[in-house]
Amino acid sequence: MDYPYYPGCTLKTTGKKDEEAALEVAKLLGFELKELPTWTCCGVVYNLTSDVMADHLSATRTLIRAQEMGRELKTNKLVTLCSMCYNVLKQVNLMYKDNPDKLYNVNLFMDTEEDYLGNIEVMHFLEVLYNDIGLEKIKDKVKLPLKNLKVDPYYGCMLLRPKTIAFDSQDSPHIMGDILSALGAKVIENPMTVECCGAHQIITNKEAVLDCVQRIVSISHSKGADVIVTPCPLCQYNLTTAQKSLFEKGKINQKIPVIYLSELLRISLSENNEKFLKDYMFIKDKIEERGGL
Amino acid sequence: MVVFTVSEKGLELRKTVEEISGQNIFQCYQCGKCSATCPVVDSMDVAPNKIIRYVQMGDLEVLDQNTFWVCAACFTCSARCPRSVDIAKIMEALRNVMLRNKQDFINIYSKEFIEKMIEEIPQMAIVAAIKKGVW
Repeated sequence: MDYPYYPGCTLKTTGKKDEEAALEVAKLLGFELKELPTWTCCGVVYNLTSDVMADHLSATRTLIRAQEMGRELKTNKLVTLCSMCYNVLKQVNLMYKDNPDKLYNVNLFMDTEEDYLGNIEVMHFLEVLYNDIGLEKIKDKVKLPLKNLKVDPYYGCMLLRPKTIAFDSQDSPHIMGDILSALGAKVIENPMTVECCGAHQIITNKEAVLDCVQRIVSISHSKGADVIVTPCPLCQYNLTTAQKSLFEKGKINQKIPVIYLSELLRISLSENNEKFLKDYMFIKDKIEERGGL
Repeated sequence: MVVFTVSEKGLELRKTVEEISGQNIFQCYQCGKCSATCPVVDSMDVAPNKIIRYVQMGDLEVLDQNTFWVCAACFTCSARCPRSVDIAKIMEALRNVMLRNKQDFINIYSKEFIEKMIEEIPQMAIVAAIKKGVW
């Protein structure tokens, strides 16, 4: 089954690697992510005020696009890759499901668009892999088992909070770890896995981000992780750049690479993984070093 | 007996925060779980539970603190509050009290901000910062 897919701004620029890898992983697993023909910014952060509706409009338009495309593909699902897009689209969608009067109002306001019916299901790529594809099928398709590679799955905030949109346990999520185990990797338990990386404070308050990242990576380091894996482009950026600053300041003495979950999936699932391993030779080295190949 | 008197403006602030956030500010009984769990509390002038206390007491000094600007809206506090107070919404309300009075936190035309945009910062961070700090 193919899915309508919403990329969002960051996956077309700094998060390009995530998108490229995820699209390919989907193909390797026998389905396609079909990009919505016209999409707008999702709003990035869900508006938390009770009296401003305008901030939800762009996300609503995306939901309408998904509704249109869903008719062709015969599905009511919409897949996202970015954690923040997932959070906003799912929260806006839920708001309409819980408040039919708000849905009625927004449809009146956007009179040039078709009515949004409120029955789109917003999903993250991880959910598709876990619920629709299943671990067994992923296991079957593994070409390069990541045997003995120690990975630290890092979720961040936006996939699990608030509770109404969480697709996994809020305090001890397991989905990403299960997927990584299916690839043969050794999953490390980091209690900081749902701790925030500092998010947009990287612009206004870099020190706060450095503190957050130091806490996250120091545990990862003490548990001997080879690589931190995340689905979020902002977590990936914050963890990488903050580690660089922390290293220069002498606050940490080792940097742990941070890569997207989709990239690790692609390395493990694709036939000619040499091409993708090129940038991450440490993965192969670690597997070989510990007698995995 | 200690008697607290709340100024006219303090009462107004409390009412506005309750309206914007949709939260009952007196639901909070000051256990401090939000502050204990906040990942960026080290960078705040005043811990999140104290911010709520300020609002409960109608103390206008709350608006001089940096706390609600430092809040990364990660919802950890809201997820763990034993009284189900959505603290993240209260922080958003305080940001909005300032922003709606035309006091932007970020100057998007400043050299400093534009320079940061030219760095390879993901768009999502830039848009999030603008949405939290500019009306």
